[in-house]
Amino acid sequence: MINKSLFDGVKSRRKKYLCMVIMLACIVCVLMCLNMMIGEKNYTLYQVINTLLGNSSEGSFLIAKLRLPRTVAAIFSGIAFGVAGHIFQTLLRNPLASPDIIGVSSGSTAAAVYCILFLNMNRGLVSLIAVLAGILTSILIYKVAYINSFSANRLILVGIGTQAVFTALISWMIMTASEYDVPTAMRWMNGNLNGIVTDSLPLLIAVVIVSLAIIIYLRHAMASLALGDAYGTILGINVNLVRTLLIVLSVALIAFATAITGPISSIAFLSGPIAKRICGHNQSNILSSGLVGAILVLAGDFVGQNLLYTRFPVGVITGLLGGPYLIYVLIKQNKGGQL
Amino acid sequence: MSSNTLIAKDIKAGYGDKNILESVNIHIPENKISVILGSNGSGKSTMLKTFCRLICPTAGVITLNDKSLSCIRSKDIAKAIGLLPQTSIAPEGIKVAELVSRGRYPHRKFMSPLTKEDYIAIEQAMDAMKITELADASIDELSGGQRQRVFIALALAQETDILFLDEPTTYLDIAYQIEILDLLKELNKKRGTTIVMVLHDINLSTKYADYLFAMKKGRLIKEGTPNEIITEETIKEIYGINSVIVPDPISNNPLVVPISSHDVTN
Amino acid sequence: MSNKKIILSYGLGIIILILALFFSITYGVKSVGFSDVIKAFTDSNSTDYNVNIVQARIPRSIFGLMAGAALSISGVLMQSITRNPIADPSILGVNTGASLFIVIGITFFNIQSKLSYIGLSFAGAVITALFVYKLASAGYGGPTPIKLAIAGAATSTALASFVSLIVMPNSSVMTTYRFWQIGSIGGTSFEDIKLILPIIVIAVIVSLMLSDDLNTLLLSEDTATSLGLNVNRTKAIAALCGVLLCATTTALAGPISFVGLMVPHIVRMIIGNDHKHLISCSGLYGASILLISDVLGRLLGRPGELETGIMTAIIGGPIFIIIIRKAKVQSL
Repeated sequence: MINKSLFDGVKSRRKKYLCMVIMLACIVCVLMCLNMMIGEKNYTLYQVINTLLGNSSEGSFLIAKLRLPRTVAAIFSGIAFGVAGHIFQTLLRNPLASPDIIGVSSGSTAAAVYCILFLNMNRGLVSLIAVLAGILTSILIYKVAYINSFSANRLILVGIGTQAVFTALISWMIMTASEYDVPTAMRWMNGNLNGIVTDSLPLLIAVVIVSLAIIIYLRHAMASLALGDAYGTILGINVNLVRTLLIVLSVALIAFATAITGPISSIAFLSGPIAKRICGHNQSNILSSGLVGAILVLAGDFVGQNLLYTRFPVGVITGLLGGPYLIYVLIKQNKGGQL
Repeated sequence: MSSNTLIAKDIKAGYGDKNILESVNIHIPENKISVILGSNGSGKSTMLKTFCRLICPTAGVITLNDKSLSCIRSKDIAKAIGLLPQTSIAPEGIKVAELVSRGRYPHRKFMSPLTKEDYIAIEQAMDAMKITELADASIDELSGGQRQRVFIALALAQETDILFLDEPTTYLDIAYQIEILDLLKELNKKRGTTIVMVLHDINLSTKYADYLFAMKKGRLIKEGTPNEIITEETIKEIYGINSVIVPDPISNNPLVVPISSHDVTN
Repeated sequence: MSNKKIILSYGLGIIILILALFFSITYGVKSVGFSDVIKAFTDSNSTDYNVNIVQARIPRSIFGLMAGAALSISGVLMQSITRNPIADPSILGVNTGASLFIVIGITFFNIQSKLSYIGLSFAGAVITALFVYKLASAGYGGPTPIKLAIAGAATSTALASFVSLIVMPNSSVMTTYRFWQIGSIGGTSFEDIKLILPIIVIAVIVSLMLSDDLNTLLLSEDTATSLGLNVNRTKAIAALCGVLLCATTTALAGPISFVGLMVPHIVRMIIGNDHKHLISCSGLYGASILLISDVLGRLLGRPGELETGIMTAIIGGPIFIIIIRKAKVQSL
């Protein structure tokens, strides 16, 4: 009964998506190995594996205590930023509406900079406060933007306003702080992977895995919500519940990742569109966005650490990708596509 | 053939604090095509949205088979009532087959891929709207009429007995209007789907509708078959214009000819 | 709009401005009395400590007055030509563009003179403004508020990374930059005033001359064209004035955000949409608001100072959000 030709396309697109996800995962693995092997001192893959398995103690401090946490943090924060950005862009129906642009992470950043500059807190405590501040900021933006009903556009604009206020506060703190502390704060603000402590990682990994599982479970509902609130209701989705849940999960992802690595710019903004470009527009693209995010962070860190005249935090490198992407959007739109 | 009965009792609803509907009672005629008529701001779209749960009534109740909509699981309502909203936005770059398959949401089970029933429903929906050959086309490449058919197919894939359409022919030229209304008529005849539409064109309404509802200022003022409703007095009452009713030379349905103040009348 | 109300608005504006100027001169880390102010003006050779403070504060106050007026008028112009209620140098990302150019200038060309600051800032502002406007106008519906805001924010983010890239490895540039990028009228001198005064005066006069054309432009562009207005020329001249006004202040004082956004809104609420009055009143009230923010920053930031740019953002951010909340959803 089923018309073969009608669904061949659907099936082949699904298959292609799975292949691409696997391919992206492979790239993540390759980059992971590279980041473990290359640095100030280079090791072979064999040495790295042996050290991690505990069979050899050669360079064990460098590999197990510095590079391993750094690489793991890169992967999971990349996934967190990528997935959260993709969800925001899908729910708010605007390819430029990623959490870093509409101010969700600005609260985290302001709180963290304050803690670093004025309270001289250690990294663990800074992370905790950054998470709380990020969540509070998001609630604030959501509450202020919610008048009688939800409006994506109002949320975006309120977010931009909030972002401006926090940015001003951050600038002020940087101004008044002693010159000695400023580079630390500046580096944190740009997102970087230096000095990641192993203790903070399990929580991030747990948050990423749990959120990702729930988000994947909700993927069909999210696909229907992408057609608009009206379609969501008609198709039998509890629109407010699903949307709130998705936003809460994304905010949690962003907040925890920001707390550990700082706001690595452009990852949330770029991952979704790149994933769509590679994998097509027909699948949920949740996994692919996460993997693209991980790839961007790993590659950005690799470039920032090894390939330039001086070491840069990963956020500066990834931030640079934002410019060309905007120009690309501009060119594409001028050719008659739509935003 | 469906036997889902949908009834609105004493409905008051609107936006914010302002009520647009004032105590509306409507029993949707089963297995028929009904059209809601009314001037701008008469509440016809609001009525449609209230039936589809996009607006919550402030008073009154809507029942599906004698059970209040608020007591039925959201997904179960979605299996009975479908809607084509006034405007639909498609995610950029999505292919037609995938877009139509999103209509299967209420039928899908936890984590499972599309089943055989899903495929059959999607195929029948696309077949009914004559868009089978567009399955692998990207939605951005389609014309206005084709897009509208894709979105109707999405609503059809939902396999509901009752289908609401909010101005399905707006922005389409006359050829597409006839094409879409013909497809809907065929659907009603073949599957017995109950169809309720808001249309702006009175003459197209009388041509396709079995039953008409006339609304004014948030109230239902008349209902009945086209022959009962379309009189010079009712048209004056609904739209405030003078007109002459003549029989359609082909179908013999009533045809409204509005009178302009510049026409020479005898 | 009755004549009485307009005269009243001007009168009130002038009184507020005089008060603001007075506060700006007397209040601060060290507050001085009224008699010291009188003395400063009458006896230019006085060696009294308080009198010297007053004399040091005068250029700051005058510069603040000019900057406030320039930024507000720039806001009016940008909002009119983009037909967009939330257009503002900071929202459009123009400030970050100016920052980037100035940072490049400091780092690679070792610029020193104020004039080159102004030139670079202007170039950066123009290029960014054009880019953001293009980015927002592409696609469906033209440059709607939401698209403009988001294009500006995204461009800002991208440009900020370039700034970090240049600034970070270079600690001396970082120090210069972090003081500049905050936006303060604190360190200005009579030299600065002499430098920007002619530019600002010319730009303001040109904008006032354009006010009838801008009123026509408020109707749709098609209507304006059919009424015989050269739409593109009007828009180009107004845009040039707008960017010039904000770029010169930004070059010397650093980015001061939200003044250009909130002042025209408040003034429009009082006196309506006639550009002749809108431009002059915005200038008047903008000057007062900037001076008052500056004074507040000095009082709240004790024992140091809260920079002007921070104060305006802290006051302006919430006002921006209120504007958003009042706007109809559809018009976003």
